[in-house]
Amino acid sequence: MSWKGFTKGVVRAPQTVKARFNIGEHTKDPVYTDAERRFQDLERETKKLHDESQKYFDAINGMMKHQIEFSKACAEIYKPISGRPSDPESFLPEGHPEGIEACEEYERLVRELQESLAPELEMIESRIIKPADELMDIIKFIRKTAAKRDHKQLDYDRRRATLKKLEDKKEKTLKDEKAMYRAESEVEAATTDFNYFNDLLKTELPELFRLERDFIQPLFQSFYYMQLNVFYTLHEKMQDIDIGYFDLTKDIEEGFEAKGNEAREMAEQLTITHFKTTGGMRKGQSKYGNKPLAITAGSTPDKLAIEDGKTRPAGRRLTVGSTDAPPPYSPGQPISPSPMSAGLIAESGGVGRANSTGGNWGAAAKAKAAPPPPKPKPSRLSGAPAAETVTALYDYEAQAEGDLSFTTGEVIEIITRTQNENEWWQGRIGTRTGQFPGNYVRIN
Amino acid sequence: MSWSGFKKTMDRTATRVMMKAGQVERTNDRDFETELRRYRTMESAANKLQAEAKGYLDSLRAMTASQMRIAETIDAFYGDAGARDGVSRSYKQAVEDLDAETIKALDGPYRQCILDPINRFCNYFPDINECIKKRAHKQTTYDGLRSKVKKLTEKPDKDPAKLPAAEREADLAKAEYEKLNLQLTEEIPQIIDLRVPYLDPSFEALVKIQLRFCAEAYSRMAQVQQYLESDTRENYASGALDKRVEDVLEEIRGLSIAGTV
Repeated sequence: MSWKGFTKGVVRAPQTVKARFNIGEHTKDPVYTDAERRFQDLERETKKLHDESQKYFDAINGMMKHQIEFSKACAEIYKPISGRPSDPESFLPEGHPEGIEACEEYERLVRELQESLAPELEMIESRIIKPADELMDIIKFIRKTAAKRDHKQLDYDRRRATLKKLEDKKEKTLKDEKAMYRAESEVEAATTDFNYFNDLLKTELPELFRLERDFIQPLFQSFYYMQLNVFYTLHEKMQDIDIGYFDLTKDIEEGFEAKGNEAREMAEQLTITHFKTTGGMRKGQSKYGNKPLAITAGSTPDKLAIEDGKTRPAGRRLTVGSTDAPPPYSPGQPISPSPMSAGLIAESGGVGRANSTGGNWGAAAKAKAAPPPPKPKPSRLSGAPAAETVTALYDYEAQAEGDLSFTTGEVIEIITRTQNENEWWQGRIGTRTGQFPGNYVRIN
Repeated sequence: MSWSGFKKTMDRTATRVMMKAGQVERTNDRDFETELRRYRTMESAANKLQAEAKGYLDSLRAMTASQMRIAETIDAFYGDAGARDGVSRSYKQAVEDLDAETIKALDGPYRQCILDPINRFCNYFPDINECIKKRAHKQTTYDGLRSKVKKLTEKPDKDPAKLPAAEREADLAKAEYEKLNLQLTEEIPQIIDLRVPYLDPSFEALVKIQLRFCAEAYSRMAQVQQYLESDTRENYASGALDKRVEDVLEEIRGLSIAGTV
């Protein structure tokens, strides 16, 4: 603050206090008060518009960044993991090459998307955020003018109060007369100043509001079309996704379920995944976990998923309800100087595209994968004499493929068993064979 | 920490110091070490996946949220003028629907097929890490006891009962250590093998969710178009809208309150 500004501030201080506590007389201009209020709204809204469009811009960028990173992380997961990365021999083919391919393809697609969206996003930056920025600058200046008007009002009230006090004095000395004379001219000057700013704001603020509306309308329309273009590009590009790896005919949850719960169950069965809660022991099992721990099964769903990926029907385009021709720059237009229009023209050639009906998400569930083959469980070597039978003490329901379910009292013919009843035995009921926990039965 | 826990820690610290000094031999299990390294690789990859899955959802939400606020702002700006063409209303409606229906509808599947499975998978890690830590403890204990036995064998104590006692202790420790070691060497490769079938479905689900989001977002947005005047698109395409924005800005700048005083 300049020295002059500071002294002014000090001189105005008493009047500011008076105004705050509503002491004495104050000028009130309802028209201006209302305009001021509207101006405040406008200030706030402009700021919001500016901030939010910036956020929007960032969010779209962030979305794509996360998409890319996600697919990278996925590829990382699919890669074979070796304990000795420096030794190429140690890489077992246990990874998931098809998955990696899909990841790479997907990543490439998203990158393409990012590139084709870049001009759109750049437009948001230059055509929306920048004008909003400029408007904010102007508004800041207007705010200053309004502050100046308030100051002038304070001055005006102050001078008037002084004059009034002098006028009210019963007996005026010569000094008072002089002071009054001075005060009168001061009031006059302050009135001119105040009226100038007050009137200026009163006439121009409504003008500003009108212009603001004019400003916001094309801005909003542009923004809308930019947004529409962004979504259009997103939609178009994503729809063209043709990675055989994904079965797009299925609904989200359905496809997810179809890809197998087995892995989840198997992981649940591992002891180390519940180490904290169980302390490394599993119920009904010996410490050394003799239940065949799905080693062989680990690769089964893997293979399934691959087969799944290959036998994909091709028709899987999404329908987009009621959309007519794509919205962006249409090819028929001779005037389209913006640089970003070229690519879109080429694309919007396929107007009919949106009408092509394809299988809806859930519609094509027909391609359901065959149930996984029962996974082989290692056969027990330690045998017991055959044709031995046991009686079930409890109900047992199969927990995994290859388990033998039975109800209490059923007689099971033993195929193989060990001496330890905490292990898993093999048995037969009628035609069904399978494994069951030895501690669920009593030997006959 | 309990007293016995504290004592164990002290014993183990002593053993580790002795190990550093070369007094105690350390058990080396190459298989386990290899598996452990593989496990660490997978752990970090899965954790990254978890972070990215969350990040995507967050930015998706951020996008629709700022869209909504923009719509509100525009609606407020239009004020009484908004009633004239209904664009801002319908835009606001479209954006709100997008948020309320599309995003909310996708939230469930996203959670079910992507976030939850990945989180569940990542939640195994603390348990496994605990197990690994425990194994390391048991190993240290065992190493310490073994060296004690060795010392007693080389330089028999006066008390002949000491050696058998130490041997018994060492055997016990060995059994405990081997139990954990076996468990880990057996099961870590299994969980590593499971990572692909476990996490793979989520990838597909993510792609599908994106597809659906893009399709719905576009169709919802496209509906607003009917409220706009038919020449708006042309104006946009030709840059007329931008020019209008510029012109109005210029006019605003021309106001005396805006600094041309």
